[in-house]
Amino acid sequence: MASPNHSLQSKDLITTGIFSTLFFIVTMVSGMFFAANPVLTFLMPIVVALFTGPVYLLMVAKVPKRGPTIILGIIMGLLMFVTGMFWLWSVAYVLLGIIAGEISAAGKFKSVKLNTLGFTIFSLNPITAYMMIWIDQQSFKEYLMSKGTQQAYLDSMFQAAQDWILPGMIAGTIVAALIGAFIGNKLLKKHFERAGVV
Amino acid sequence: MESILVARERSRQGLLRLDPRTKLSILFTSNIMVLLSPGLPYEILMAALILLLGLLCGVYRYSIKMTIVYFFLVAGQILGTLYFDDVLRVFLVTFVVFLRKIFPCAMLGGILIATTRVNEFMAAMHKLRMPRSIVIPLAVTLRYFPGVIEEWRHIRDSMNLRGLSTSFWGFLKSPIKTAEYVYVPMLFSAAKIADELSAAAVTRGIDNPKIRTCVQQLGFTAADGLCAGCFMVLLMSALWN
Repeated sequence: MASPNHSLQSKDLITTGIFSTLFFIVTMVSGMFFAANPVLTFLMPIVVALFTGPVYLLMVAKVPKRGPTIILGIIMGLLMFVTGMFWLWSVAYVLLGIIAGEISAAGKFKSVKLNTLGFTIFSLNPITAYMMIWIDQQSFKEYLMSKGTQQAYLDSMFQAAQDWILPGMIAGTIVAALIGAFIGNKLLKKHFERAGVV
Repeated sequence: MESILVARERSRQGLLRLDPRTKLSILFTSNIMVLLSPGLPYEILMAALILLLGLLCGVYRYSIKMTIVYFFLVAGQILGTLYFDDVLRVFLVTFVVFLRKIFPCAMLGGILIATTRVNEFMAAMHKLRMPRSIVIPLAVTLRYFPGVIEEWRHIRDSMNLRGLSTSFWGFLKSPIKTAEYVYVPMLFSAAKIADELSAAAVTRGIDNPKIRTCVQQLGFTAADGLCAGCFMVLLMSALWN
């Protein structure tokens, strides 16, 4: 085991668990409405990135260590897999969680800029699932069909998926994540640091 | 979600008591069943099996409520397919089908969470040799779900008392303000609960490096085999087709 400051204590694990719940619920509440519609579904990553910012940043501020983002990624990936999402998405959650943790670690978890960058990259996780529409439409379609997605849904989704949508979605998600992180950082400064919660 | 809390108190009255590992395997099997499902009748059969399991485990109100919702989803899908035109069908029926697909697993998940106490879950995970840094956050995550819903109700009440709108329209009118009013108390209470819960957990010896013990004897019984067997048979019948 490393020095106690770097390894995860029970308290850190519990805090991570609580914030993962919040993160999942915020993702579901903000994303569900969009994800269920074949055209609006492309807005889903953007909306989710916008709303999860404060939760993510407070978690990193509460537990300034490498683990939490990875655990968040694993739990989100598990829950997404159980609710029947594309498996690559779950993998992306874990991988981006690791990357985001490393980025934040570079600033010793105190750097607002690096934490924001980490969150922005973490927010790109749904893109990996959508990317399949452009990379390998046929096998993605077969996978979703076997998962029980309706033919009509897929048809209108693939119809709406113009070439410009993928870069648009990535750009939109990055901008939304930056705004979400900006609001999150402001909230942290205005309320949490002053109250001594962080 | 409130019903989960109610169900939790009554959980010991059920006829069946399953090992948490059996529950996990059932959940996993069900997920594969949804993946392999040959059609609607199969999934209704699956939902019926889950309802039976819920009733046997003593989760009455929640199971029946969820079954009624499931019934309406199925009815909505069938009627919608028959009577809606193409545009409506894409937007509404796909939404209903989307919900209906994940519904049996969600229902099963609710039943399993309601009948599993955290110590049992932890002990089972420990027996499966899962690492601590995954088990503890996962247990907390599952346990805290009803808490978030309750917290949201309190926030909504106090916002309404102060004359702040919590409706969708009110959110559109002043999104940043409304988000702040919801987020700040939500995050504050989450941070506070995290501190209190860890204090309680440490007091109860979560950091004890010795091998974990559990008052509840965990072990597979005939009931475990029977339940897992039923779900397995249903899964096999999907493969057979």
